[in-house]
Amino acid sequence: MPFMFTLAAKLRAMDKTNRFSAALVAVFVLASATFMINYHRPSGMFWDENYYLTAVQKYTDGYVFFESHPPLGKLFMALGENIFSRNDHLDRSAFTLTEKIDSVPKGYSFLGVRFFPVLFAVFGALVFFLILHRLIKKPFYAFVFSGFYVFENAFILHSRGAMLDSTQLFFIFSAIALFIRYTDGKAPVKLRHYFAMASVVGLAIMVKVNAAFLLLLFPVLFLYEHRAAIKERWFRQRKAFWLDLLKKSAVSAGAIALVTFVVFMIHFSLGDRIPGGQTQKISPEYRSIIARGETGNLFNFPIMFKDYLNYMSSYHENVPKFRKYDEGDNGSRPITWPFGEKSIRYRWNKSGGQVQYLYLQGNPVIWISGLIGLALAFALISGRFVFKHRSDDPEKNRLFWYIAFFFGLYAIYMAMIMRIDRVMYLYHYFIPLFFSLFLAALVFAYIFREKIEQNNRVLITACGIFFIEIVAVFVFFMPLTYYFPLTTREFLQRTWLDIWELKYVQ
Amino acid sequence: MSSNTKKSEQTGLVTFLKMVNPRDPAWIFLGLTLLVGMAIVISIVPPGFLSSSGKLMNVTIEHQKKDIAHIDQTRETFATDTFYIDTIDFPAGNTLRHEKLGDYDFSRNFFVRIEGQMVVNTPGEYRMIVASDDGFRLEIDGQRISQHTNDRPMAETVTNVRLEKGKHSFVVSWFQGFGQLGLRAWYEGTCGRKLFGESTPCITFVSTATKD
Repeated sequence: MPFMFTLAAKLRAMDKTNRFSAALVAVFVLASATFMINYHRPSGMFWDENYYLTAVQKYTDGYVFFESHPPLGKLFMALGENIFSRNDHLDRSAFTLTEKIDSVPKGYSFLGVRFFPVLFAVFGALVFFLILHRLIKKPFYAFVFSGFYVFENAFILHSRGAMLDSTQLFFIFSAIALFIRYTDGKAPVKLRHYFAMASVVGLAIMVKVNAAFLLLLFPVLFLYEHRAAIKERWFRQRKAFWLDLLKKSAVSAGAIALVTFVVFMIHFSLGDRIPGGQTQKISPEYRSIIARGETGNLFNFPIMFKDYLNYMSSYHENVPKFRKYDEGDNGSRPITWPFGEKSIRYRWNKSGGQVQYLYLQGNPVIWISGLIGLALAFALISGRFVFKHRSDDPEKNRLFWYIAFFFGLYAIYMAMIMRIDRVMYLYHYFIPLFFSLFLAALVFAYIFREKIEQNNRVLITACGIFFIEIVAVFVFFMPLTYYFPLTTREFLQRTWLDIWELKYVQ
Repeated sequence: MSSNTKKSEQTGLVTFLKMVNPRDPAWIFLGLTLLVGMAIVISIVPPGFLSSSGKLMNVTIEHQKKDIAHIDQTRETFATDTFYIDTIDFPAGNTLRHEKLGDYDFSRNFFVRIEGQMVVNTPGEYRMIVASDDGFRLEIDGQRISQHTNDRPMAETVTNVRLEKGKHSFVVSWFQGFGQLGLRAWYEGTCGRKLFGESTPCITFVSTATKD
């Protein structure tokens, strides 16, 4: 508590720019601590690392291969591996013979392969803070609510592995930050703005295709930009409207296509031979491109791209469906994700009477805040549209539209996910979880708009306590995040809700 | 001086209470965060941590891979837990719960060893009463006093023993197979019937950390 008071007092004493800088630096330092410290441990694989390590090795050795996701995330992992080069002395040839490995050679270092996912996770914290600051306009509150990101146990654990989600989230946040900048500013939105946003959306899609929901940002931005024309002079300006729509659609689509082309060309050009024991389906046309040594030729892109898409499509069709009554299945239903169903035991190790766990278990204070944010946002939106209750305060109206925006993103993402047939996992909820947390922060700013402006001390104190609660619960669940040993009793003390399905090792 | 301090404290409290406005959303939010904080403290603090007298007896639980039906059964321990309690008072139920210190959540196939020390101030005959589900064994100074080696529903075993003046160590061993469980132990002498851990003028329980 004294820390929070000191922080608040020091922030008050600073001028506006310094307050912002201090809060940004604090977020960076805290995120670096929670995400980066000893990220190379455990020195064994967990979750999908057994797939991604083979992909990284295939890049390093120049083999042709396809993956279930677009290549950007794995390209970054391979870049990290080649920057650090800690495993050059080890025989990793077995990695290239298969899509999935069971173990790594003794002494294998994860420093390189996990570097970029961790780095993007830290940068993600900064973008998270910048979005909050842009919306709430107060560094102290943006800092407090950045705790939602910096101390989220499940996300920290997942981001400390060679996984794709932190990289993707960084690009998703960046796209949203640009969207907010364009819609919140007074300057007209130009073609180059669409190009920039589309490039970032393209990068997010190039990590995982489920970021495609961000394509909705473009029509929303366009409608926002033309809201006056749509409201008042729709017919008179019809031609200019459609022309503008055409131009901006073309630029956006062009930027996404360009990013896709560049990323996939990098992927294709890195592979110029087929590994022994290859089981992936490579078309005769692609094989002849490889034989001619022309994988870097831009004109061969369509053939190679088609093969890659075919593999992605067949892979996702063959992923098993969710088996509700199979206890061994790590999958869970999207409808129960907001409540934390179900935690996944990524890895465990027993020594003596204690067990180390890597458990995908969220920080309950944060997840509950997200749920409350969602519920209050729903109430607020219902009040506005159903009961026609609206505020006269322009600032509150501004906040309301961003609440509606994030609520829409949440609903669309969840609707999209619920239509997917294959088994899904709790970490697929990270994207909507953070949307719900933006909602929590925005609803708070909406409710306490005047108090925030007045630097109300009671509110600052309450937020300080709330921040401490987030940190305290993060520390309590830290053993499951960082592989610290626990006795069975200590483990059971952390099973707050049955729905999480935390199970100790016998 | 002290009355002045008390008065100023009262004035401070009154001023604070006057500041509290239950209709103000900021105060409501502060109240909610304090409530959440209390809930968090209760959830994360280990049972007995806040109890000053909670370290009288040392408890070791050995979790077994196989079903248990006898107190001397060969052990195949996969995990061990240790903690402290102040009284031997685990009431009958479906999971292990200490009457004062709360839930431990274990429900089946474990051995428990409770070690403690007591100082007998009034020597003489004492009745040792152990209620257990399943079996148990009570030893004082290494001597077996009473036992029920097999499984059973919650039932009492009563034994008389003479205790001399001075310090004695005791061990209560207990096992839980499956189904309901529970363990409570009392001593009864001229000072009445008390739980193990509850000191009287006749017997004082001392911390296991205390040196001879």
